[in-house]
Amino acid sequence: MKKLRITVGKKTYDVTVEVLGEEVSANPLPGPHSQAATRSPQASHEPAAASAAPQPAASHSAGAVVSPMAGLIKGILVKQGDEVTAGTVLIVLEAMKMDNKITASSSGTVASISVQEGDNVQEGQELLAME
Amino acid sequence: MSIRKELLDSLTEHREAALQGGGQGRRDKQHARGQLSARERLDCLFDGETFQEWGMHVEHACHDFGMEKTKLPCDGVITGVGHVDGQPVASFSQDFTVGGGALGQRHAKKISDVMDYALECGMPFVAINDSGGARIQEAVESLSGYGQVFYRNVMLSGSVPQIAIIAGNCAGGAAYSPALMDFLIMTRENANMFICGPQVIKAVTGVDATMEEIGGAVANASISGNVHFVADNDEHAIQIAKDLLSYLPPNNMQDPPHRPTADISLEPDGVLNDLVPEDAKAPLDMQAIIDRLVDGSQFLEVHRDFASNLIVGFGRIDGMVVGVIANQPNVKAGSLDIDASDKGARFIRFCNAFNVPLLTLVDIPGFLPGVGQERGGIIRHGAKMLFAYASATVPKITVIIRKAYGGSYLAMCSRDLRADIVLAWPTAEIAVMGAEGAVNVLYRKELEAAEDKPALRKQLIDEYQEKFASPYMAAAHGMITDVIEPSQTRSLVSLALRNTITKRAIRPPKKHGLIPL
Repeated sequence: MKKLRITVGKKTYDVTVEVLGEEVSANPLPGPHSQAATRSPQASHEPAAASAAPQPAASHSAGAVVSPMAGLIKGILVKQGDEVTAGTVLIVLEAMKMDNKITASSSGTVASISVQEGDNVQEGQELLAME
Repeated sequence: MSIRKELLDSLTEHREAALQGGGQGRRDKQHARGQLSARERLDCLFDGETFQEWGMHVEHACHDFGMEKTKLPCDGVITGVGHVDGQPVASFSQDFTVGGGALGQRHAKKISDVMDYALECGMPFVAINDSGGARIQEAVESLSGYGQVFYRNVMLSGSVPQIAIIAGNCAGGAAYSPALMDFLIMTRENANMFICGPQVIKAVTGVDATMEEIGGAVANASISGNVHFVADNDEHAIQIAKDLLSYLPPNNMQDPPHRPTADISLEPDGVLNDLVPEDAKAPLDMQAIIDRLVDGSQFLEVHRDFASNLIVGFGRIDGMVVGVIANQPNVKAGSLDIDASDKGARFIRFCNAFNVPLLTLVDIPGFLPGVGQERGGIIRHGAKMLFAYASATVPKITVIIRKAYGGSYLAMCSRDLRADIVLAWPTAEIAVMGAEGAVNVLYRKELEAAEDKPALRKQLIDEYQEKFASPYMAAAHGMITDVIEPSQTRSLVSLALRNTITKRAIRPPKKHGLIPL
């Protein structure tokens, strides 16, 4: 933790700053695995997550509706600006020998659509965003 | 001649002191949070005045840190035996108002004693957890206390049903006692369960996490799957425990409370015919089918918020208790993934341990493909389903509703895993793989040579679909008992249960099988 004083115009702010990411470089004796010792959760050697349901990742829009599994977009039943209620079928995803209905979990407006009919999508990929 | 009055007065005094617990002030705080007190929870669980308390006068055993001057009524835990719907059940309820419900040596001994009794007398055990953790002043004595409780959890496992209610804090090592039990019920608002809390996670990994994210009821029930039921409050949690007990035998040497009706429901149920979509690719709501099959649509779903591509739970058919395992095509097309396999296998093994017949409803396209699934060990986890079904010796009745493809068909209690009765609807598709995949493999050369590839492909797929995606190929090979109309399902399952309820499957003795954990 470092304490800094910042002056913007005539106003002075006292702030406390925590410097992140210094720990590894500050290691006086980096071992052969020092890279693997970084604390990035995105490190490539991390085992693939196997969560119960794909969670919208940070890179997704707010209100993102993501694909529950890999498949083919067979139909898009809404367009941008449509108001939908909970349970409305938004997209039909062909996967696992089934036409799976992707439904709205709550009422809202379709803010954007990120896929087109015929697209192949991956599990966790954003299909559209609601607001 | 009569007992001396001062002796009775002294007894009353001792009782009053114990019943006071941590005092009204602390109980008021619990009430303000919407919680019941430790004793109120037991009152809620047990019939009338049937609770017999054990060790009300127990005192703590600590002489350090000034503890010798402190009184801890009941040593922070109320234990004993009471009746639930007329059946004896052993229980403990930790009293958060007494030293934060922390576990010390005597506290652990009280719990251990009642667990030993539950095992020897063959009665279910219900644990109501609300504790700050180990009583630090008692040091390794309290640590050892946890070890003694864990050991008994394992001794009771598979012998008597064990249900844990998490009604407050249950942190660190303490969480492993519920984890060793059969069903965990957690209250939505006031309960936490975790091994390392947000502060430790922050200190060690630098990651910010909220208590809700890692230890709340919703995270435990839907992400990690540690918890089977989320309750709205303490009363609801206790009601769920009572509902569970209504389906269970008191111990593994007895049958569950079957109450077969005098008459078999032979009336066809036309609604079942209507629940099948015409298009084989349109998802079907398995929950609606279960509701038609079980008595009065009364189904106690277990693990509802976790891996909902598989439904598991308890119901009755013509009064006979069944454990239902069913694919839910509405979620992930009903495929089996890692979490669904873990969920299913655990439930199957519980039912087998306590003599609950298994009813399996199949509509499964396959194991879920994906890098995450393969790297997460779907081979190891999916194998648990095969292992659990094959090793189960209870009555096993399977109804193939629609899809039953490849290895996943085998994993849903196929005839080869020794299902006693396999019924298939005319919509059943029992095949080694889907038509499109099969045609690509079988007719690769023909397709390459064809002038009009899409037309030939479509023709071959249709031919394959007609010949193989039906119940009759499997029926011709004797893999199913009968092809039935959906409307007959309830009556034929009832008949199958009546015919298999006396099943005795004797296998050579061994210490235990080696389920791929």
